Amino acid sequence: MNSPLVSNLSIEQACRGDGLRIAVGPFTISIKTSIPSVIEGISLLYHHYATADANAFSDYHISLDRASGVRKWLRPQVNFNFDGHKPFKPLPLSQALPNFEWGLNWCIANHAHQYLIIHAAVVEKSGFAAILPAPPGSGKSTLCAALVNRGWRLFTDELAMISLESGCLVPIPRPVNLKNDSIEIIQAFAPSAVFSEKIFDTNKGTVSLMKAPDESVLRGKEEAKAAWVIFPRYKAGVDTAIVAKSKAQSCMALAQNAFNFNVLGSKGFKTLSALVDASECFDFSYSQLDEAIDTFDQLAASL
Amino acid sequence: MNSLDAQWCLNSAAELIIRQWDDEGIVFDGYSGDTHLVDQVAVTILMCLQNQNGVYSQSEVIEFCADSLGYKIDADFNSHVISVLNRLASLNLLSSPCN
Repeated sequence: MNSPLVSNLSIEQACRGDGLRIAVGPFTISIKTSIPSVIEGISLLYHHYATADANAFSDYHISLDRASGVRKWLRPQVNFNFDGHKPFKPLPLSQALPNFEWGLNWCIANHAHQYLIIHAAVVEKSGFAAILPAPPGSGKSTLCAALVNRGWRLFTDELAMISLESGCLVPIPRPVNLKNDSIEIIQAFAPSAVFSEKIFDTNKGTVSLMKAPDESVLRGKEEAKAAWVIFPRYKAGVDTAIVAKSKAQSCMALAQNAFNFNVLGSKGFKTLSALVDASECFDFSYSQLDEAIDTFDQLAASL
Repeated sequence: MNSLDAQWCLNSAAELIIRQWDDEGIVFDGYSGDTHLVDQVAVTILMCLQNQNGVYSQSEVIEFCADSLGYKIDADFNSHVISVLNRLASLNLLSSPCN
């Protein structure tokens, strides 16, 4: 791997040429595109990742290109290509950058079966990881974005990966996908954080991607043990409350949020139940980010 | 046959992994890939049948659960164990009769 901080020019050249290869956690991703918004987005959000030479092995070969045909002129669209296949219908061209992120999520969730993969955010402090599984709208990504701007390390805001070998959480630090009101909330909360342009009218509403913190990317190969499973729920006006949740119910909820539980069979269950064994489990309600972070910091300090 | 004499055993196709935490448990069936949240009576029944790998009459199952969990056998407890047995059968984890 080469050192990070490659120039925007070399990023553009690689994207337009044989493909830019970037190291994201345990994976090397190859991306080819000539779509300006994607090149600009990658230059903004991924310039601090390590890169590899064009002939290096890549786990995922992704390309994004403009859909052909009449639509190319009337309503331009983008195709997401993975290993030569188009797994999705094209999206409006304006959504090309989030399409890259969502498509990469799909590639990993459907192929990286050396990990148990759960739909959850993960943050880490002092070597211990907090797993935040939650459905859309629960404030998971908002809370994750706030925590990583206050001293917690970003593992993921979307794909919790648990090694079947070590049982540890494996980081895959990537931009945090913020939606709708969360964008302004985090921009106000963390004015120095870097965001992509807003992308409007996606099927998730308005989205913006927050750049992963430098340290999280730099430490992208440092695994951590699970210490907490915390089910967050944002609700305007509620007091901050953290309440113990039964391990069996937590295990069940994690299984329901897993992408590849059935693929892994008993290995997946043993990995999941060991993770629950090792973790304290909570339901967590919040409306104030500062109070939420205090609660997390107190948990970390209690170990 | 009196219902109390019904014979119960694990579904021969089921490949169960059972984990208990406090008074609840999770059962993973490797054959179907299904995961179930169950109470401690269900965990006790499944562990009993799994460990003994045999066939138990309903009355033996009730007695084993009462002994293991420290409950007195009465109509309510009988009724609860029978409903759990039927639920586990509906999940294809148990069979009755056993072949």
